Amino acid sequence: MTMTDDRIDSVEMTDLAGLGRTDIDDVLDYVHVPTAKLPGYLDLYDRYLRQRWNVNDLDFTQDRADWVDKMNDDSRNSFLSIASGFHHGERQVEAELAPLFFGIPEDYKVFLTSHLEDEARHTVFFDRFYRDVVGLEGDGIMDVLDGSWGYIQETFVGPFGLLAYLTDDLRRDPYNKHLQMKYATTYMIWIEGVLALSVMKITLNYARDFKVLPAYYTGFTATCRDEARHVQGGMRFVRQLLDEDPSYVTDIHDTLRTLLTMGAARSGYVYYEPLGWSEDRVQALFMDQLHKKLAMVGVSLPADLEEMLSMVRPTLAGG
Amino acid sequence: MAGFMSTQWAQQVKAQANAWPDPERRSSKLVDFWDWIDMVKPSVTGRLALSVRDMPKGAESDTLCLDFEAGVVIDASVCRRAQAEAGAAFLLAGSYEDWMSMLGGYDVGKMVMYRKLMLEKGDTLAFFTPAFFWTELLAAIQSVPAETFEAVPA
Repeated sequence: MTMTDDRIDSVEMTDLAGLGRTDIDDVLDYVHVPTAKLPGYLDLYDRYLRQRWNVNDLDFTQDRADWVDKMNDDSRNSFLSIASGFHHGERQVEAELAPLFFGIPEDYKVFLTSHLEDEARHTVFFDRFYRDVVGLEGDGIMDVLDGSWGYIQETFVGPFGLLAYLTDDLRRDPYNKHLQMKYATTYMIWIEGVLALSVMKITLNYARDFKVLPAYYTGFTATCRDEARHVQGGMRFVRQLLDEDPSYVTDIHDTLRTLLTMGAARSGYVYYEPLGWSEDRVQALFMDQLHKKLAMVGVSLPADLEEMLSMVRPTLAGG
Repeated sequence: MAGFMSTQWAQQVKAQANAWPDPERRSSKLVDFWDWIDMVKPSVTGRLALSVRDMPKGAESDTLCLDFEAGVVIDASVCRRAQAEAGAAFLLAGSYEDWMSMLGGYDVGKMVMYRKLMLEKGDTLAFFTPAFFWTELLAAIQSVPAETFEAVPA
């Protein structure tokens, strides 16, 4: 479905307080634009300047009250099982972005500075949420991350470990375009474009429908709008590489083959039902998100990857 | 207790890896997970070398070589990294301090995610395709007791 101009304007121009009243489904729709309409890197940077928000403007007092009084053990556990993947995911995508700077187009470098700043802010957003609402303590970012580690799925290390190791490959050989494509497929298509947007939808739908966690809803909706810029910038980069040499599509497919093989594993159940979801619905969401991202860059999946995608078990994480 | 990176320790690692998981570990995860491990096992063939970059004095060697055939360790030995690297499909390396953390119980997922062990030889996508086979292998290695050394580099 194509968004109307007034809905696009509403997402694009709203300030932080207004985002607390914006429908998350509108923000998710806002990510997806056809290839021909992918914004330029400097347009995205301009949008960043207008949409930047201050994580310290959020007041989590009501969220803490909701966490204690309105949510029960089941919903708190399900929420943490899902949100903790983001808590760690944000740190990972912040820490793993730097080596991409060396070998990309100049305009993308400018935009990527804003992408990196966003990820640092998102890391601090989750740090604040886990301290002020969940009640974790620690001297620094890593202490709090260690506190939520027990909630994340063991399979988290699949895509995020791959990202860490591809980052290291890119650090050693930053101008290698095959590596850039593998990295962009893992980071911008899979982690940001599929995992992140799916998890955002689940937890934000829950907060909206059950009328809880207003500062979380506001900050995470703002995060989602930031991710829209990152995904669109990433898709432009992927499309540019494909325009230079269409054979790079093999790198996308090979990377997805690894990600989807890992994605078929799960070591424990996540109970979505307290948040109003089911595993089948989450899986369908993953499939839809991947198809939408690939449509943005004009790439289709061969039959074997389509079949693998249908076997994927949701890894609830993002960044 | 066998010394860390000794021949005896390598043989214990081989036995533990081939017997893995123990009943307690198996019951801690879904059957689906072990089915996934069984699915990827046939693709795990060739040598994995696991190396210590700054091995202290007193150790027999600095690198553990595990030779796999369809996910089974058919040979285990220790040698110097240069010797191990030539025939290895994959080589993971970490500092002695990080190895000690892992043997002391540090989470094996974090060992990968925080690059405490880095892939210094081998194709990254090929390595990650059976990713959880490797993390289970690290957990098996972690469970083998080893005598360690003063952290004074050789």
